[in-house]
Amino acid sequence: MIKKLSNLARISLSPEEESDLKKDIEKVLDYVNSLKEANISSKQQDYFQSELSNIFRQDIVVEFDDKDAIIKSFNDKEERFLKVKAIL
Amino acid sequence: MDYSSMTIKELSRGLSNGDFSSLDLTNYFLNKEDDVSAYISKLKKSALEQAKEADERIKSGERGELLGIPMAVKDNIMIKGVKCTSASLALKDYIPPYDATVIKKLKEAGVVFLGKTNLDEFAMGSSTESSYFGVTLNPCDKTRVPGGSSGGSAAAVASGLTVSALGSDTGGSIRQPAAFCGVVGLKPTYGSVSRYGLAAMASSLDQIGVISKNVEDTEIVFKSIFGRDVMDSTSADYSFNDIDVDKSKLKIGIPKEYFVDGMDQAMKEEIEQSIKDLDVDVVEISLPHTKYALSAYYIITSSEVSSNMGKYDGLRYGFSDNSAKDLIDSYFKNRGGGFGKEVKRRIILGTHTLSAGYKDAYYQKALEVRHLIRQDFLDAFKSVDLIITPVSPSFPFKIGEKITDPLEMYLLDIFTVTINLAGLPALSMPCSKVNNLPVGIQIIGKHFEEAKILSAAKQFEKIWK
Repeated sequence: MIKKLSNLARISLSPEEESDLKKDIEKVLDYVNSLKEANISSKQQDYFQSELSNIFRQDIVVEFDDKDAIIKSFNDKEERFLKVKAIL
Repeated sequence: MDYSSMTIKELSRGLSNGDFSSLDLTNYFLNKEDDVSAYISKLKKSALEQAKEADERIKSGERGELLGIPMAVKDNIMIKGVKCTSASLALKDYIPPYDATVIKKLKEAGVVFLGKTNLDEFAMGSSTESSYFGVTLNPCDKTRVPGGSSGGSAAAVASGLTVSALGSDTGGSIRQPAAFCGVVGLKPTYGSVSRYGLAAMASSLDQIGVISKNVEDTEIVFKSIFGRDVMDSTSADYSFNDIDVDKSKLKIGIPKEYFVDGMDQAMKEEIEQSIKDLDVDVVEISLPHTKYALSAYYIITSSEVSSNMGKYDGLRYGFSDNSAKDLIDSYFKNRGGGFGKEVKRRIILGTHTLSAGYKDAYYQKALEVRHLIRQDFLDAFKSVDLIITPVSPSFPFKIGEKITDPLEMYLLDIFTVTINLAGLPALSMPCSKVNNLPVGIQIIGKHFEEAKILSAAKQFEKIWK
């Protein structure tokens, strides 16, 4: 299970980390399983879903004044482009 | 002159009267020895420049309660051009190119930024022990933790290394360290303070707030940071109406679910006595879904953490392992190498609770329970003005005592996570001491009723002093 999850999350783990995480996660999942007892009526579910609304705004481009500072943080670059390892 | 025991109010008065300058204060705090390892970095050069500028503004006749006042900032809140590490190896050398909205506001008010304070890595923890830069000590007893995750901010205020500090609170990260260190901490209503420029942990719960020496100072800082911000779509337009609540008319709710058997007996007795000392109208209330709160909280935070931490790829900024053979390998190595144990634990847990086949059983269920918890509070507030509870079930524990058992550490957040789930404001303040260790009490109000909490707390403070 941990291997599959670390693949999904794109995180390398050492074998010790994997076995520690397995123990920790099992323990936590065991604890949070108590949620299954909580009784939620369909009326409450409907209300819950109607409570949230999206907040929209105009999508206007704003010029950022310090692009150099962003480029300076790149770990590898060529001119002003971010350089990454081979994709394929 | 010893400025370390003075409040914002007193320092501000001294600055206005010309008794001392902001430069005097700033030099004093910068040079004071940090014997609890509260700071990750001190900002000597920029602080002295800001102090000189504040002195100029004061000289030209400008007045303001925070003009020339030195403050500390939790190291997950961005100040333009200043390293912001989130106490992680991943962001050890990260320099943000912009100011958080709260920083922008405080700069305009004339605040001097002394330094960046320690926290649990990416604010994930309750003891400040998971910081990449080492643990902060509790000023009340240096063998104990200061609480977390804003442990550096609370310890800095408690030991007089600053007069006030910013923190952030996702499940108790301002209130619990404030309680552990014997100072005041305010977690404002979700949406009252802009989160723009705060390293996100769990975006539906995170809130920036204040740690200070007393309630009045906490209010002064809060008043200068709240408000709607276009950069945070969840921030709300609201105005702070100064009120003076009549203590004799206050009705305080005490939830029976918050005085559980598992909590420290001496702490329980002290809190019960402190409430009696207030001489206010007290009624027992029930928040029936409290027993599910921690489960819902850890599912929601881990889920949001696994999503928020996805942006740290180590390419545009942050820790990078150059041995990677291709792009996908860089993601694995940069993230695997840059994150600590607790961060990985939460990312993995959150990836599980959001993954196909499990999302409905965990994440969706947790959201529904969250709604019930919120509803519990709204129902309770129909008959009471404020709710009072403990902040933590235990006193500050010994360094190293609980770090090996994540579940035991999570259980300590039992009295604080519900407030974030419900989006409510809550203040943590000291009410008593046992063997020199502070006892913290939590005052909870309705959404956007910070003014009522603060007004009541100022009156309670006089009784508990």
